[in-house]
Amino acid sequence: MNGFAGRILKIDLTTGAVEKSPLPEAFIRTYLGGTGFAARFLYDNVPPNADALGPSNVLILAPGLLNGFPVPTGGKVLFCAKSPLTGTIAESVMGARLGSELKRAGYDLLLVSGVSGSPCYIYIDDEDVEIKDAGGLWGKDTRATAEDIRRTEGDAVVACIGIAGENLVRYANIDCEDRQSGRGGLGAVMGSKRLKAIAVKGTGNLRPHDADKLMDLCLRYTERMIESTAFNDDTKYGTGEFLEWMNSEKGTFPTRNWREGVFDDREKIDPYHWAPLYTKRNNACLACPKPCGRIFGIDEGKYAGLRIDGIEYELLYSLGGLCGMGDIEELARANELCDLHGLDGISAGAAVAFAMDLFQDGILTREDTGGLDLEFGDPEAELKLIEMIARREGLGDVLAEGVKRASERIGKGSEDYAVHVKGMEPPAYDVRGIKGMALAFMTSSRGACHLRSCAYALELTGKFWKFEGVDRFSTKGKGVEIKELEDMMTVYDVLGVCKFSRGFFLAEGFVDILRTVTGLEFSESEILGLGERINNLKHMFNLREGLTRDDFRLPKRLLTLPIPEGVSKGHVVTEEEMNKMLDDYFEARGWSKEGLPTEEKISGLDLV
Amino acid sequence: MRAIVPHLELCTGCRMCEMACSLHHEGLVNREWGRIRIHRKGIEHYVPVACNQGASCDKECVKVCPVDCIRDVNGHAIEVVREECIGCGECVEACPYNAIHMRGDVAFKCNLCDGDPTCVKFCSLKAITFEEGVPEEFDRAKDAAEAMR
Repeated sequence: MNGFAGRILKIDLTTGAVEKSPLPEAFIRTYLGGTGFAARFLYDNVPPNADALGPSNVLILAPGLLNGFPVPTGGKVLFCAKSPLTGTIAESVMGARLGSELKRAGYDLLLVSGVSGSPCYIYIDDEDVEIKDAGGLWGKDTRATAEDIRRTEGDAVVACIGIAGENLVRYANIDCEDRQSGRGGLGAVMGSKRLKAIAVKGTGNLRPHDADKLMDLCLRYTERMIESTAFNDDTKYGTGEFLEWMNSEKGTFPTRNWREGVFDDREKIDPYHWAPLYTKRNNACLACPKPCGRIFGIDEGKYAGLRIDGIEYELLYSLGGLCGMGDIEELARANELCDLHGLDGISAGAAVAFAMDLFQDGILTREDTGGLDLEFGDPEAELKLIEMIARREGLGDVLAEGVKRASERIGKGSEDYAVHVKGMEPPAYDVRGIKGMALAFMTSSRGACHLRSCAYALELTGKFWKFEGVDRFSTKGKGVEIKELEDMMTVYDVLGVCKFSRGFFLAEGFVDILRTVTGLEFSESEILGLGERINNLKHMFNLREGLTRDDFRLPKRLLTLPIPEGVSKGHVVTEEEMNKMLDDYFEARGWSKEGLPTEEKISGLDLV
Repeated sequence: MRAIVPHLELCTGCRMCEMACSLHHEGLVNREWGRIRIHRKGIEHYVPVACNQGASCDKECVKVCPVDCIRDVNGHAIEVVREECIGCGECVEACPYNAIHMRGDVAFKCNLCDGDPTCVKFCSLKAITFEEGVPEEFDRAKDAAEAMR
């Protein structure tokens, strides 16, 4: 079918077997691509209660359906596996060329199972698929690894892990050309398979159903993005553009391990301050006409020569505000360390902030930290601890497990300091003042997450898509709201479209795009139904892994400690509010009070 | 003659130009069918490379073609007349900018989409423009692309 490569590539690293099989016709209409294919194949291929870091976990690479076509911001690809951090399904989307390259090599999906006897990398060059020795690459950082492989394999697109993935840090990520599949520890899954990298070269054609109409549509959406009011600020300041607003207007910028919701040093990490000084140029994801990615460069001083892609809003929070650290050059260095070692910067920053908080209250002492003074705001302590986490040295070995497991190991009441849902450290939205977002943290299939629903935008502005007049301090109507948003955002991950452009397409815009690319007719409600089906499937995977209603809870700090100052002062999510919102959500989903889908729901969604 | 002029500092590496080019000309997407190509090195450098239509060269391709199938057909651009091309590859070798390519038995190059280049419309930050270029602009791109090989 047009738009698809038509095949699946399976590689077993234990036996070295390589299998190419046709993409099942039936899956095309029901799952379409990206997260749809990934969820279905994960459910079917990973046995219940498999060790996330063992041979039976399957690492899946799934390009979005639109990967490779010039649909603006449609260059997103995702990795998926059972998460070593949360035990749930983990998927993490990035804007790299890897997806289109895999499709052009002839595969809509790559599944990697087993464990290699020694470090290896996978090389895919159209029909030629090889498992190659990566002994010389083990221990190298992400950039050096990619460069080395490209020296051998020419112009291949390389995804790889750093030492954090090798050392099975539970939130290690996967890097591809300075874009990351960041969340949920997918880099550790690669590390557990002794798989250092995946290099892909594809030369095939991608054929759309109706090239002329697709061309018109792509150009129209591209022009719309260029002319949009956000274009200037998005491209000049990137995702951090609303950092000041989140602090002063909303009071919901999590600070010092969620002790506060406003960062006093925020001006120094605000891109309106630093972008003119440090931004070298824009750096786009594949197919993005309004790049929020920019190259941050330092030319003088101790970090002269530093170049990173960023600094993203989420890391300005985790490595900045959350650790009370307001020095932008030190923050850039922390960002660089995470990128080179292959660490999820959100979880890494959160783990450091958690440790600083424990140190401040005397739960961790210099004895525990190896003599390190873990003061909030101390860049030296932060950088050192990130290094220790990636290398699993001393306290870093404990923090490499994520704040949930770390608190269980540390004990002494440290559980009260561990901010997570399902074991995943949350992104930069103080949900005590954004109630719908609190629910979104609770319900996300991969643990505390802003991207399964993108509810922050609606909650903070009161208006998006079909919703209007939404009050962020109220719990009213949040069940339906989050369910609907999750279903729509899942469609973005099926097609591989960036959620930063969600306002341009909505579900409606995809009807024409889908037809011109594949020839398939989908109504708007069928598209949203696809999102619902996939979300139910992810939930069924999680239930099979033993998740219960208790796993949907917010952490104690967000339930008991009100935001102490700023616009959202005094706000907290009460136990009662939490339960009400969750009841409403389960009801909107057609699930029981315990979160179990009914038989009718499952068969109605074609999920049997 | 107007041509596609590269502005190196502005290229973001999004590759919309590459994809739109082959979709427009061939009805499919394939980088190897792109008349314009983006070269990448490391985290910091992207270079768009397309034919400068003689603004910065001696039209070597035209000179070396043994069957004279590379010529200005309609006053917009120097084109490879596909039907006449014998696939000898001389032009590919001769082009100092590496802006002519082979696919199967034919050479192909930028023909400016009959005077309204598609790639330029897709370039949101204007890293390529359609105008009278000066040789230095093309040479900078050429040097940068060569340094990447």
